[in-house]
Amino acid sequence: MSRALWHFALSLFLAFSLSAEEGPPLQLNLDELPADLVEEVVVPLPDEVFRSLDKLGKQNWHSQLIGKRLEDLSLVQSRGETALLLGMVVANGFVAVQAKDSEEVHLTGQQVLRLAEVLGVKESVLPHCQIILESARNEGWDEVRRELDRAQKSVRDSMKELRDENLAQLVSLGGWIKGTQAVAGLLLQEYQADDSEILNQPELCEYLSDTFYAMPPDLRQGEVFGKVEQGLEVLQPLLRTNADGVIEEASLEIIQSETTNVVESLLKS
Amino acid sequence: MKPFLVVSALTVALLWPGSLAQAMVHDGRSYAIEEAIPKLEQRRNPYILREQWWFGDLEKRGRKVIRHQLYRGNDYWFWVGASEPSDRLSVHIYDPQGRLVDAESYRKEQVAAARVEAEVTGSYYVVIQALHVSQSTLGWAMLYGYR
Repeated sequence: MSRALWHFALSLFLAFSLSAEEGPPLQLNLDELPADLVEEVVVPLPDEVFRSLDKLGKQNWHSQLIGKRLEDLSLVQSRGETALLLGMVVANGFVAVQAKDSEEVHLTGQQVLRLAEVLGVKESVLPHCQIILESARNEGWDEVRRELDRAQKSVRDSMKELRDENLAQLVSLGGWIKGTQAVAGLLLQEYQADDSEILNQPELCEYLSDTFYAMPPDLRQGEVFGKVEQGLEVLQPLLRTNADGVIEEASLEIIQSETTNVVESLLKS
Repeated sequence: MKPFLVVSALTVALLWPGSLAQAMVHDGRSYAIEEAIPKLEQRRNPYILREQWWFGDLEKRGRKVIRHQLYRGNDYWFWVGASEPSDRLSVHIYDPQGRLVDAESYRKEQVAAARVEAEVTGSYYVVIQALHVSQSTLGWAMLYGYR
């Protein structure tokens, strides 16, 4: 074999070996995935599921807003309940952005600030709330959405700094409950089996449930957390598509009812 | 921190108010966000950056898997960055059945990225792998955007 041909053959071999070595596997064996390899479950922003829903043409967002009752939020709840409520109010802010409702966004910004103050993390959200209030006036929806995300992250980071990781988890849980309620409500307004798949989230529900039960029992005491426990238990088997790839209308009704129970108990407490 | 990175971190901070502290504390995130900016600033239908980000360390050839709930119809970019410019890593997305579903993916120096158009709603797997580790471990950061 000539020298040039040898080099050509060698470079071809190397190219194929490298691509074979570096190419990702086409299939993950999920049954053999070591548990310690799996780092985290990402809890999505309410905005992510809302966008998906938007593309399906479900746009009656006003119907899912908390509304004027935001003005009457109680600030005498436990820290755990307040964290849950804060997550719920932020999620309501994302609904308000979808609805392009300046007044609701304004109320949301004010309440996020009040609740953050109760939790001792006001300073971290103040700049974000100021932008939310200003952007609501100017109908700068992208800015409001960005600052809601930042406000929630700042609250969670501050809580972690204060070693209140559990409270940070409750903020996420509160947001997820409100988001799930809004999505179930919209899907039910004109039920279409194909669209129901958007609430297929068994692993996420299991993760949130495991996280919740890992919290100290004294943090999750009281009527509101009783509703949360009941809700998580009922929701787990329902937030999963059936063999036809859909969630039945009757299941959606229960999902909406259970999440509404939690939202209502938070608003009343 | 390398001079280039100081400049880029400040640029990022100006573009993304409130992110300075984070940008300064994790070089991997700075590289990843620098890579993400064109997608976040494109005129038509830009991606929305999630503020929260994830980080950790990988040993040589090490992998991390992050489970992530994605929603049908949404389009996601995942960006990962290594803290050391000479380190190399990859990122790929697998659907709830474990099938590779990258719509696009690439590696460029110390960053890697993958895009997925979610066809079904469910728990996806973001797999980050160290390909070249110059020190004992590779520091990585991951962020994502959606639209």
